[in-house]
Amino acid sequence: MAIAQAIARRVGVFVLSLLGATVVVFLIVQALPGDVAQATLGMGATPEQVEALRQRWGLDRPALVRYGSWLLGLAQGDLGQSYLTGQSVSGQIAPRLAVTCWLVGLSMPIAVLASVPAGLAAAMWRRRWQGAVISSLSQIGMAAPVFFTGIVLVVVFSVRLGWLPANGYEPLLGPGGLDLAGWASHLVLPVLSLVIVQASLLSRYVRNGFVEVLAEDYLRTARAVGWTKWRALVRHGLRNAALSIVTVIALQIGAMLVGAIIVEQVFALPGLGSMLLQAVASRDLPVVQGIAVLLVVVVLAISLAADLAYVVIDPRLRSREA
Amino acid sequence: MAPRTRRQRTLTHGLTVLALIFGLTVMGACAGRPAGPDSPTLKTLTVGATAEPDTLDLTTSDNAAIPQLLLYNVYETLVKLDSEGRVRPLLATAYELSEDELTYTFRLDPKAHFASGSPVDGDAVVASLERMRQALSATIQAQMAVIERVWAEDSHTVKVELSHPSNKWLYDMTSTAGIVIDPAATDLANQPGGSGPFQFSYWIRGDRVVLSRVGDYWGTPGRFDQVTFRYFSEPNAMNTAMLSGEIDVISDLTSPSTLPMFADDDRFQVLEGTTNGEVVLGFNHARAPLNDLRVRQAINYGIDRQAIIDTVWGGKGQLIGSMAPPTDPYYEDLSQAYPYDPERARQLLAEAGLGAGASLSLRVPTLPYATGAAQVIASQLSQVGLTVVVEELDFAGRWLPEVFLNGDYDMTIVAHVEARDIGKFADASYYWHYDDPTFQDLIARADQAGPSEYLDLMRQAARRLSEDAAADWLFLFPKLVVVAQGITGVPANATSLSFDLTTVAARG
Repeated sequence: MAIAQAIARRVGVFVLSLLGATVVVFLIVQALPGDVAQATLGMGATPEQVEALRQRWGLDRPALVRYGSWLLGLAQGDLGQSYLTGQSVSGQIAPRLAVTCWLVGLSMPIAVLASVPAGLAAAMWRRRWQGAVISSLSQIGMAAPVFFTGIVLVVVFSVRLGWLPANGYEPLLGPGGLDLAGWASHLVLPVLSLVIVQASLLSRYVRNGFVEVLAEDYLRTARAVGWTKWRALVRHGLRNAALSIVTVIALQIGAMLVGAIIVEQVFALPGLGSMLLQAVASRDLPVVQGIAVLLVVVVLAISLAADLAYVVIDPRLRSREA
Repeated sequence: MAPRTRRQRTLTHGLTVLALIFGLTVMGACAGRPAGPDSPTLKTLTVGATAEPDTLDLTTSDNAAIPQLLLYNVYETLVKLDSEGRVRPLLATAYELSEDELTYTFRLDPKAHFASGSPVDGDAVVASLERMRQALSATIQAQMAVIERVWAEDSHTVKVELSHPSNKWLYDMTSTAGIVIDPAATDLANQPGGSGPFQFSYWIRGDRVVLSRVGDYWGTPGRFDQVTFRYFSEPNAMNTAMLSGEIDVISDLTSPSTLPMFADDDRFQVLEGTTNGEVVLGFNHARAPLNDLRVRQAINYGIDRQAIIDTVWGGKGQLIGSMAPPTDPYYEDLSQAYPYDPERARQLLAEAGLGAGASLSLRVPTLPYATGAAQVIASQLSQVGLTVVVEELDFAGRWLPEVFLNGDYDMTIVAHVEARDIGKFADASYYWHYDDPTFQDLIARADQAGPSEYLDLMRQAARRLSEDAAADWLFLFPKLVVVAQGITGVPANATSLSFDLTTVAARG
């Protein structure tokens, strides 16, 4: 019963946060300066044409009515229609979302996989030169802005060596059928630039997590019954360090989505980020609102998932819940 | 040794799967084909461009990215503009103008047919022109407003009657307003249908549009099996794609400071031509003191335009002196009408009663050329006693409503990229509020005049703008095109909105 209540409470918080977010998104988008119809028609339009377009898009209705009809659509899974193309927003977002999902979805696991051994090694060798090298490298990886890392990678691997395409995208299932090689080759450098930043950051949390574990009594006990230091660390340390890492990962996925916007610009990827920038510049408000709400849903869902992950990782939390 | 628990096994299992994904990705990447658009069987061309169209329907939008892609390549017009700016036959083998200069007769090429196979006959042309008269695009509607009626005399002859003689109309017919659309094409936004040497193949939004060759094109066939237009919102991304050989052409280099990396490299050739983009320092004629000719002239004398080109646009660009680029038939060089002369500027300001100085606002959109030029101008005009307050405004958010619509400014800078747009100065309600009966009369008479008289009147109009210092024409945007060695026939001058593929070829 207690678990059901806890879940119900979390879902309730999720829905309320989402509702609040729609209000905020709507208000911010409305507050964007400039008239949408004028921005679309540009300098050649007459005032009558601008007014006609405003009416066609329903912009002459009061803000509350517009919010209401947008929310009603959202509840039915309808994000509305783009001003510019007249196509459904969700239909336009879908192929873009796929690009961003691949980008973030591949980068995050790789960053985690790279950061755990790096952090573990840095913790074990923290008083030796190897540890210092790992720490310095992670400092550099964190300090370098993601667009800088991206440009350096492009210059080295595309312009100088010619191994990989500099930018652009090839859908996994494109017009010419399945194209695994084309798809993967276009994602390597963007993913790598995100991984470098994220793995550097995560490895520092991993290192600190393990350093704390190293001082714990239970580790000394494990060593006393004859376990090697490495084995004790992996067996006891990993799980304890994982708690703080999961929190950081959940927070970092949000940051990664933002980083993806920049990476998409550097690598000319047709993802959500470039779509959002374009939509803001052309004041295609339904698209801006649609993407913003989608991002909010993703971030909220991740924090919900992180809450649930704690329970799985830490049996102590589970017994307290029950 | 403690036995492995079930949970531990699950963890190991999960890690193995993740490692597999990682490994596969890396392997897939390494097995990836080498960078580059060429494959041995297809002859392809990849063109890098800056702005992606939002729709492919030319009749609903004035977005220049659409004709760049489709005009002359997918859609053809009755008459076409060549790279010297002259009107040439295309779908019409010949055209005649009646004695009263009101009726045009176009004789259609009997060979011409659409990519769909149906002929470009009188009925198709009439239907297309009628479609344009109803177009949603404000620009096209205005251009076609002069048409009185359109009819097909026989299957290869089309007549158009105008309500008054108009030179501009025939010129407009060489561009989007004049394209002949396949009557069978209904979903123009996603599936354009024309009679050109290429047809639309597919579009990956945010990335590229691909055109393919029409197998049985009625004229000289296209020289590439496939042409890809790739879109880059970030100029650096386009540059690196060019440097790594993924694109063959940079259709418009918008960051002149990066030019040396191509100019100094044997793999590339750089073409420098002219555009229709006049960068105009606009004056608000509805306000003092800019309604005073002496003040406007003083500003023209007080600005060293060559210095602006050098600082802001990498030394590339041309001095013009009026609202006409060198590719307009009525162009004459007026760039020396107001040579840089700070002394003369101070004198004129003193005559206008501003000897003690004055403060002017310079409200510019946040576009690279405008913000860069604004700083130089503020510094130069301070030398002649004018305090220029520069303010940078987001184009759609603030510049359009405040400067363009409400006229809340003294001076502003915008590039006017439309072809033959000198007539904008004849519209007193336009944001400059330039209201000069002499100029307006010249433009109106020129449009209705015979061909030779037309050029003379247009020349007078351009000169009038210069004498009246209606604005300060800072410079003309250069057309900087980077082409990979081996690609020939890319036109240097941008006289039309099209990236014209019909002359482009690959050597070997």
